[in-house]
Amino acid sequence: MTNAELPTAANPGPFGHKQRKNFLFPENYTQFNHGSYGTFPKVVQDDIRAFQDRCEQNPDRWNRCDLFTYMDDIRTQLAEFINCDKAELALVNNTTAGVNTVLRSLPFVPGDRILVLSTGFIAVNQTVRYICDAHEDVKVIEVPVTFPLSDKDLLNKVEEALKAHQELKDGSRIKLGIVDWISSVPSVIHPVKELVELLHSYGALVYVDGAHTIGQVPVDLGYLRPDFYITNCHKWLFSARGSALLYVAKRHQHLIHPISITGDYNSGFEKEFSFLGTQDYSSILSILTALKFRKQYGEDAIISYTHSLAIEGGKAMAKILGTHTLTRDDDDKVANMVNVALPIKDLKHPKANNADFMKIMLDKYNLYTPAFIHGDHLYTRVSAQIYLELEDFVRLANIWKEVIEGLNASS
Amino acid sequence: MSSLTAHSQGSAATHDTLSSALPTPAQPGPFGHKQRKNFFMPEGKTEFNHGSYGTFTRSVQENMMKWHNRVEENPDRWTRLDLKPALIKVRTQLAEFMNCDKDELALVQNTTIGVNTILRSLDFIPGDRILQLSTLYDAVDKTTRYICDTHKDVEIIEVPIVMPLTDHEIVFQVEKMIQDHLAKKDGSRIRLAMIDWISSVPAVLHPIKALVDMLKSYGILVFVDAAHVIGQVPIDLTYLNPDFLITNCHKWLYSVRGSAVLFVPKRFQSSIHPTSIQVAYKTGGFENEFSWSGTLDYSTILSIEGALEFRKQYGEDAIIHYCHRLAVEGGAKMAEILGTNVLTPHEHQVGNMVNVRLPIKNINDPKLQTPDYLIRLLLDKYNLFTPSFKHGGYFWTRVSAQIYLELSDFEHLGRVWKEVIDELNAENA
Repeated sequence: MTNAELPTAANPGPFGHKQRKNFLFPENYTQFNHGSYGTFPKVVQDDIRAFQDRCEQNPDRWNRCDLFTYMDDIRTQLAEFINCDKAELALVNNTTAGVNTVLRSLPFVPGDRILVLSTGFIAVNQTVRYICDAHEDVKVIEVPVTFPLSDKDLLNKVEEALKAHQELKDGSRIKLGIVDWISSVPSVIHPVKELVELLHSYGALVYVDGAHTIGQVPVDLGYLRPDFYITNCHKWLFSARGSALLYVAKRHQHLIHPISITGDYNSGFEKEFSFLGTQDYSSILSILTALKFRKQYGEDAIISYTHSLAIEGGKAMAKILGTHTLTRDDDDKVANMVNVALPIKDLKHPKANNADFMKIMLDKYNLYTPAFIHGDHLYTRVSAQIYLELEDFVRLANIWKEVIEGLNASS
Repeated sequence: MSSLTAHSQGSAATHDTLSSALPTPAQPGPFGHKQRKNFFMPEGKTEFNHGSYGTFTRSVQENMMKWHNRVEENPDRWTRLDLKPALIKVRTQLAEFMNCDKDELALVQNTTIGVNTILRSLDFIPGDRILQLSTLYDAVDKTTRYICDTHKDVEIIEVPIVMPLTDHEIVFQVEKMIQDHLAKKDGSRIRLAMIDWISSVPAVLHPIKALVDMLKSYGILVFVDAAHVIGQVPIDLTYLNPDFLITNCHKWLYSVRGSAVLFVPKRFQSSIHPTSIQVAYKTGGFENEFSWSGTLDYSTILSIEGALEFRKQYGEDAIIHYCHRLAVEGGAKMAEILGTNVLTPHEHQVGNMVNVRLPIKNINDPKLQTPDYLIRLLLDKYNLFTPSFKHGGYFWTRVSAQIYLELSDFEHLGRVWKEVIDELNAENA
């Protein structure tokens, strides 16, 4: 397909509401928050059951022989998908597990510093906190980030923090930097290639938190060259929950062990990560079915549609609400998730919090988009997907308008 | 039943006067081949190795899919509101089953994760020693070695265990090792003991209460690896009172793979964190830290509900009694066919798994040095499998009794192994 033929919000092609029947949604439910827990098509669920049945018919043959063939095949396919060496890939259950795998393996010594951004995922920053608690004189350097921020300004902020640390001349060193490729809340595409190069130039290792990347943006690790990278397949690739991919560059593999040591300890990276202990591997194996499902349309088509829908949908919502999107006209900083400002009069309103919004949205409207305060605004994050259309965003905007007007009236 | 309840030792259960009414291999009642239809085994395939990966019933799979589908109705409502209460309900059911406080339980995916959770949380200091038995599970051994590799001057003290041994001898050997260590007076201390309740290979039901009491009397923390326990023998945590315990529900309880339960008494909870640190670290407390392991398919853990429901139809006593008697009698039958013996001198040292000696003439036969030859031969030619292993200078195979098996299955297995071993012996002649 040429660019002119790729599906867009205006010309959905094979996408939009006609896709709903491929998924498991009940009649009265629309998923606007794909970004949190993902979802998967019916064919993926059918295959989960099929894998389970196959395993139960001969658990020994499955767990001692066949399973590994499939796991290997997945790594082969994903290595091609993200342009890296298969021997540098390990399948894990989710991003938090992948982050813990690396952080709890690295031999931190007194004086090590770990750099994070304030917009990093909360579980990741908590893991860094744990590492600091569990080691003598290992500390976190948190770069305060408030979007909107141009790529240049973001890079400058990080470099300022690196320079400020250098100036301390206290014998400490920045051992590792953890950076989002696409942050969670707010959801913003970061200048990840430049961040990797910047941190490398200051002698730091770089862990790219790509939780939201595979299936949402093209991923090329041959180009990016991070030290470590993690991505959830169950977010944007349509596999079942509990399937993620960890990349560990060969030069570091001798240091990295699973969070759950198995019988293959010290047998080499690939062997050590080939088995995660007894669990139901059908979630991980569903990656195969997810890739097959996506191949029907092609990555370009899927990404084109969902990105276009996020942009147009965000614009439509901002118009209805009389507000703006976090990233304004910067379409390059948005993939499939758009952050729309909500017209709340009083940011400090006691009910202007995610928990209270969630109750209203779920109970009254049977839908949900996370709400959060960032900078001086209240935003909600909306996830575009192949099963949504522009009119869904219009409906959502009108619902949020009603909810916020209700709060504004009561303040 | 009397030999089992009197000697399972992890439970204070009293003699059951109705034991004569419980199913046996001679009188299987609701058990035996009629159970096959409740499971997934195809025609012509018999499962003799339940102990390795467990299996679950069709009704349990339905229960799992029910949870699975419920998530898709509204993943946000499910994950943010409904998941935690559902997990609490499972913990409540398990707390009743195991006689403990539900707030001292955490649901994890498997034993290896449970072991890593505790071992990687404990603050080992130079001079600490970890005591373990030589028969411990491979992944647990690797984990204790990992702890030693990553800490200064932390070492393993391993008690060599070679069956056959009586309960008394097992306790004695462990205690002797402790006393020998104390006599050294080298400034080190045994901090923690990893003890199997039912070991894997060989499968031996240990005198766990005596071991726990003895170890605690020396001020040693006791972590009971009960991977094989729940659903195989009665479990009473108030009676046993270990410092930590982990058990797999997907082994003998019939839940779906990826469902285990970790016991951590309140006095230790503030220092125990998951293998995967979550949002609730330092802010949420033990229950919250362990209620969310990141985005996963939790329906395997929730299938514990379906497993308990299935088992309630028959009652724990009936299931345990049948499986145990079948293991004992089936093991004896196989030993008879093979002209050998079983590993454990006493019946109460067996739960549902029995170790039968294989009459191999050349224990150094190259075909037996890795598992691959036997795996392929048994699966491809005979469409069955039981793991085999060296122990005490002999070669053994471990067979798992289950409610879907009968004595005739053990006879068949005995004949298959005889054929396999006769052929190997002939090659070596």
